Amino acid sequence: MRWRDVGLGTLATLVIWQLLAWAINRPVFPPPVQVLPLFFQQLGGALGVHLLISAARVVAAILVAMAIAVPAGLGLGQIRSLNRLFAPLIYIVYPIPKIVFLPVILVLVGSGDDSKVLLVGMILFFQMLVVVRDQAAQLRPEMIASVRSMGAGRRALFRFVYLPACIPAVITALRISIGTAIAVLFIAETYATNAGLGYYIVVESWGALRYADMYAGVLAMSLLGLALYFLVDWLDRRLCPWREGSV
Amino acid sequence: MIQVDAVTFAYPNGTRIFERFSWQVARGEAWSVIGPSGCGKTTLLNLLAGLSRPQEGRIVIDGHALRRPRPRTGLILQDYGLLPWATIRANVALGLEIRAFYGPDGVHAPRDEVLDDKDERVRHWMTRLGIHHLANHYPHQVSGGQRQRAAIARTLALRPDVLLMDEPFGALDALTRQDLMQLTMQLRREQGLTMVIVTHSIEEALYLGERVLVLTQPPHRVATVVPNPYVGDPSCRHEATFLELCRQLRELMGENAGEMA
Repeated sequence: MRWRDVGLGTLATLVIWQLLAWAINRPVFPPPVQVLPLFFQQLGGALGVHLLISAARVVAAILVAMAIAVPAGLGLGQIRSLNRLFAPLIYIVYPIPKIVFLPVILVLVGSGDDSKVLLVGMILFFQMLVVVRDQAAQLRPEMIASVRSMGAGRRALFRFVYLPACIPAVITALRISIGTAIAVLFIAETYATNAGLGYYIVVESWGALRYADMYAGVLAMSLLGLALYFLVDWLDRRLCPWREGSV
Repeated sequence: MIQVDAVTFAYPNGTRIFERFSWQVARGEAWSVIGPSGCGKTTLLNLLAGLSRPQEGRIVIDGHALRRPRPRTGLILQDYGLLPWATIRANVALGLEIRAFYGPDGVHAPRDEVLDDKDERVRHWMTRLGIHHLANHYPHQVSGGQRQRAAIARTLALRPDVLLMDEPFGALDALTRQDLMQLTMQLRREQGLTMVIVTHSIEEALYLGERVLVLTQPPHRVATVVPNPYVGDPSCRHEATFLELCRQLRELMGENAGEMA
């Protein structure tokens, strides 16, 4: 994705939005000329705070998921017996929409930030686990043997082989799951909280029939997603230069 | 230099590959190990590299019993040995980076290793192997022969005294293979390496090995050794005595195989 493409896409979205708003002509669908000024004004105030809180929750979820999924995926990918044991379990839990655990999570860890991070983290965790595991399983035994023959023990293997091998897997998993993660975060933020974009959109704006504010919140959410995609792309170029052109 | 001492090795599934097998390689010798696929050639190389441990007996290299990969032994495999995410330069530097990572601890790296000239050594070996211009390429961007040159550069940058090679030229076209075999012989002389090269090709075995160890169907109990006066000499390829030697090797491989089956 290039900046120019993003600019064109934004412009097209705004034009279509404006046309639709004219056609529908109802308070529930305000035009961008009304929403945009409000968005920029709010961004410096309450909306900005909610955006930062949501962003922090997603980033925390990414870090937590990564910290557990990477070692677990590496272990499953390299130790066959371990994978035989856990693979069925993973495939049973993997397709369950993690949002169904929200009530359980709310009861168990409370309604604070932890519950949101845990829920989003769970989605990212399974995605990463599966991709990292498959990546680790693909590492040729010949390659590992030849690195070991150069004197590499477990620590050096981790540093020079396993770690770099699973970075692209983690990035791919992030790219796949960021959309779902934000969608689920949105739902989680509409329950039992007073911060975050979900709360801002549903409780503060929609609940109070402030439609323009609601759309400002939606814009902020889209901005969050876009920023994360750009972050992932940037990480990909920085950390995996050998994949140049493959993305 | 290498002493295989009454070694017994079996895979966990019970397949016995070696039974009280003994074999010696003198310092500076070049050996080929030849045999059909599944005969245990690679197993032997893994044992010599310290990647597998024998159940009985021991392997002594340069006076020390082998317990783990030995820093001064270099191992080159057919393919897949390079890290796909690292440039050719980073791949050639890998062994030195691993040594720098552990420091000269005598276990993962020789105790007398000095790594001040790391970059210089990497540059030297890339130039020597003719891959300097590919330093910033990734393995998938260069040819099979160039990848193998990178693997050789990476190994020689570690200043080995023993070089083990497993079908190193099997995946290459005939011209590149000839080229690399010649280069290997040159480098072996230059560096005074003790070399063991595993192959299933009689031609390769006779080009690279002063002596040929013939393996047939496992389990192996005695070493069948054929001396080879034609090492490194492609000019005699059509002489009757050379062809006779080829026939003899083929017979050794085939005959014993038939006996076991």
